Amino acid sequence: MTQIEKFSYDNKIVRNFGVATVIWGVVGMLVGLLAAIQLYEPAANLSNPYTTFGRIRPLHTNAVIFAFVGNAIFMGVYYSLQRLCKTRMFSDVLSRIHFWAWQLIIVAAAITLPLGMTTSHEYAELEWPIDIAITLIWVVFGWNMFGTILRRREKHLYVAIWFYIATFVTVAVLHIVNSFELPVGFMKSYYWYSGVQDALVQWWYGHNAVAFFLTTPFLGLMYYYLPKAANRPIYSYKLSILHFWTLIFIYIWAGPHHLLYTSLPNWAQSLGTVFSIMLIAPSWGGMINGLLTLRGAWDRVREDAILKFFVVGITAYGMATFEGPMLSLKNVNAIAHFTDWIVAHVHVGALGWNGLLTFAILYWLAPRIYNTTLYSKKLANTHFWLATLGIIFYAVPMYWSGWTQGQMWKEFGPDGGLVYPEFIKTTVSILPLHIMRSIGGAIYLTGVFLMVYNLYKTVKSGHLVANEEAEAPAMVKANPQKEYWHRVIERKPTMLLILSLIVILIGGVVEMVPTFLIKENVPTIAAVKPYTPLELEGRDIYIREGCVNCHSQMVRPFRSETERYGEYSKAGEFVYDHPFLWGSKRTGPDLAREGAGHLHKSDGWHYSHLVKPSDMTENSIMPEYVFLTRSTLNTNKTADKIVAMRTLGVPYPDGYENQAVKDLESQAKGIADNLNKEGIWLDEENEVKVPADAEVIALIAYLQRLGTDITKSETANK
Amino acid sequence: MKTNPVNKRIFALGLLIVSGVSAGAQTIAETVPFGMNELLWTVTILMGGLLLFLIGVMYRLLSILKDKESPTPKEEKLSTWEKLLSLRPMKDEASLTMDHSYDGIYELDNPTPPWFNFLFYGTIIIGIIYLIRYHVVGDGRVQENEYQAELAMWDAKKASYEAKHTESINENTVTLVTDPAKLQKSAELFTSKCSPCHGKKGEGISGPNLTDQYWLHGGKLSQVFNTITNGVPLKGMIPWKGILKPEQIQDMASYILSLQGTVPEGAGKEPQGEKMVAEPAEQAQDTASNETVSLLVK
Repeated sequence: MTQIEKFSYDNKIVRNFGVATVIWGVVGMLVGLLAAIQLYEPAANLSNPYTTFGRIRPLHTNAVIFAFVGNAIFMGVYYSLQRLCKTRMFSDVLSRIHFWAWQLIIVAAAITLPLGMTTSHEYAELEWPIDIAITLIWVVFGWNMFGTILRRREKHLYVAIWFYIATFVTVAVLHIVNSFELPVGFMKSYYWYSGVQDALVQWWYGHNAVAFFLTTPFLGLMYYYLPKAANRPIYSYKLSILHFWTLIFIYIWAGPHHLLYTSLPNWAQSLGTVFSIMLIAPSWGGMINGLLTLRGAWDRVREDAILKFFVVGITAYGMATFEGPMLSLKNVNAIAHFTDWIVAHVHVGALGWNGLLTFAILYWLAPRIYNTTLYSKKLANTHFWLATLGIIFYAVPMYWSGWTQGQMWKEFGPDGGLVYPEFIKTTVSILPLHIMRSIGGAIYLTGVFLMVYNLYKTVKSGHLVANEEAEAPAMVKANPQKEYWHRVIERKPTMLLILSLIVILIGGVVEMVPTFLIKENVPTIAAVKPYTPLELEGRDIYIREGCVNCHSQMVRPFRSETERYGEYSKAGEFVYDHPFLWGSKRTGPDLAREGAGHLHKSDGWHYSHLVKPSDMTENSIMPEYVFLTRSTLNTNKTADKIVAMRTLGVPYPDGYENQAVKDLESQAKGIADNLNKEGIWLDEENEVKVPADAEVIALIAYLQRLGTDITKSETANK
Repeated sequence: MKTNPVNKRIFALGLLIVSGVSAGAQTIAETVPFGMNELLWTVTILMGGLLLFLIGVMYRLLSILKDKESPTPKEEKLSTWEKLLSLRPMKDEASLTMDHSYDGIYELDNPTPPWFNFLFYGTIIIGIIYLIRYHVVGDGRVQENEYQAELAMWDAKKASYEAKHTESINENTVTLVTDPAKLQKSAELFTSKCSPCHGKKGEGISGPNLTDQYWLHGGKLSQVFNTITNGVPLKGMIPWKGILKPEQIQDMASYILSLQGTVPEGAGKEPQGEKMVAEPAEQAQDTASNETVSLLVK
């Protein structure tokens, strides 16, 4: 008989992450509700820069993904990892550093995003100093996790831990590769990559952030908490092996399905489609193993709110992972992309899978670490029904809205003309659905408030077992003979880590290396020239205000788009775009050709439109950017920006940085003169002209530049 | 493993799922430009799949909720649902339980279900076929070619439409409209579309004054019609031809000419362009009695 060793589990760190999960969950969802209301009631932008939709939307996504779901992952991992390894966390100090630094990062995000400090890459908006902090803290997490694994008293690693390891290693790779930025100031940087390459890297990241931050860690959590809550064995060990390896291998390849019908090379798009289709079975493997684990416990689902959360959460996962591959089929994507359909899709995943599983785990954990029972099962059941109802009320209107608007964008009359040439008409038609969606969100949030109360009362009725006493036999030194092949890997964590790393690197390398190295993938266009200093500054304002959250810059090769916007976008047009600004959602019209062809409007139109959009477009839901007329363009960094761009390969002549501000001022004066000629005043009553150094002038310069390069050239195709 | 009718049914189910997917993939390869039928087809498959799945889950949940009694007595018989999923009877569980546990969690040594493997390998085969179709033999209509085909189809459609609708209004056939109802409609349209630049009364803001006798692009009805239709992109006026129908532009041009002199000199924007005598005199003669038009000839 081996010696029984006594030790204790650290529950305090689990409690801390749990509290953070709940607080950030409420914050993130409240911000989401505000953003949802802004989309039909522009006054909810509160007429100040900090709460406009363009800045609030990234705050919502970051808060929900990295604060709510992130803390939930750490809560779940810190509790389960100790028990699955039969040891305390490797280091209490590292645990504490991890916890507090992660919260600090979130606070930094909550401050910098409303201030407009953003890289514009979706779900990677945080600027470079925060990126570095995230990298360091992720290493702390990995160190602590691996230290724990290496000190385990359990010979083999349970499937949950495989998922934790794959999560750790892949998120590290994704974050580092997608954070190649050249700083041009304390909170400003330009991405190393440009245009098509930048888009590929971003969506390789964006897609796999969903895969390895929202999916794999939660599958790991499911494999621990579901059998615990249901008190049933895992349905199939073999299935968990198959779906684990195929999932992490195939997921990585599917990123390009976010870029179908764009200027990304066709071969890369096809890989995105094909690997998405192949992803159905590996994704469903997780769902099947989850739902079939409940076999024999179904009668308990009736009473047990926790199991209900699991069942609907896992089902939502199954639906979202079936819908994802369907959306990757090019003909479905052609309708759904840029519409609310995608918003519905991600919320089925986020509210259903991540939300409901998190709630289940919270309800299961809180009484255990406080050595008590749940305050009210009835409230938990009510929460379950509110959450489910909320998801339905959220998703159905958004599917409807996405389909409606997508069809309106594409509809031609018998004469071959667009039936809805004015974009605003398509916007107005979906506003009632946006109202319904915000009601759905509010219902879901109401459920969360019930949970907060229920958990609070639960915690009050017990005492935190900060150090839970436990005992386990010491680790056996000798290895078993004649094991199943995978059992060998399961007792070698470093090997598991390296194998996962290799498996997840393949897809990214195959897709990215040719796109970066083979010139044919991005045919150059001679007429495409670098931005003028004023346009560059204007572009930075466009990035700061988060215009990309509502306006795409990617005319897809459909007649419905070329009729509406002009010639479809070519890869070569974006070579100086650090970062790319293709966008992923068209709440407003595409802006790729805003300055060219039949979309071109006067400087005065743009000025009036930015100040009060509804004056120029009746019923516009765009926020008012009147503050841009009062703020002065800061040109202190202009020269540095030119130098930075040259470092990144933009061909500004040597020494141009010395002349940049002068050029900027003369171009700005031209626009200010135009406004004056058009009879536009900053303050009409007192006859105050719009100053040439107002930020709005730079933004107008950028908007007027958009799409003009290619119209200058007849040889646009090569 | 025993083969029995159950496995056949599973096979059929798998076939159904995979054929749904392949039908989706197939339609891409054959994509002739977008038609509603094809869209509906794909989406029907998509929605149908989701719906079937949902119904399955709901059915399962409902049957649990209805089945208040404990289901233990009928352990011996597998339900259709269980057979479809190729599950082993519950009594086999003890023999399937593996010899290890993690923090009390046991795992069963169930094989991956055959229908799962069918789905998995099926999608891989579809993927390979897709890549061959697009990038090895033929181009499977990559997006550039798909776009060209779409243009060609619409060019043909447009040509046949225009052949049938020769009477459409253009700058040569445009005539002055005096119907007050139509002009009233144009006035409303003017307020929402034109007034941002030309002022509520046409007095001019960033756009020129439309009420004086000075014109940048000509004050003849045909010229005004032309300016509205094609816009003045360099100066920031967008072409309205895609947005307004030719008939609406005819009404609007007539309405704009009806604004002549309605804003006192000096109250609007300063004159721009050449002075031209009020137009269109020739049409005005016919309808001189009409009040609206009488404004024009003053």
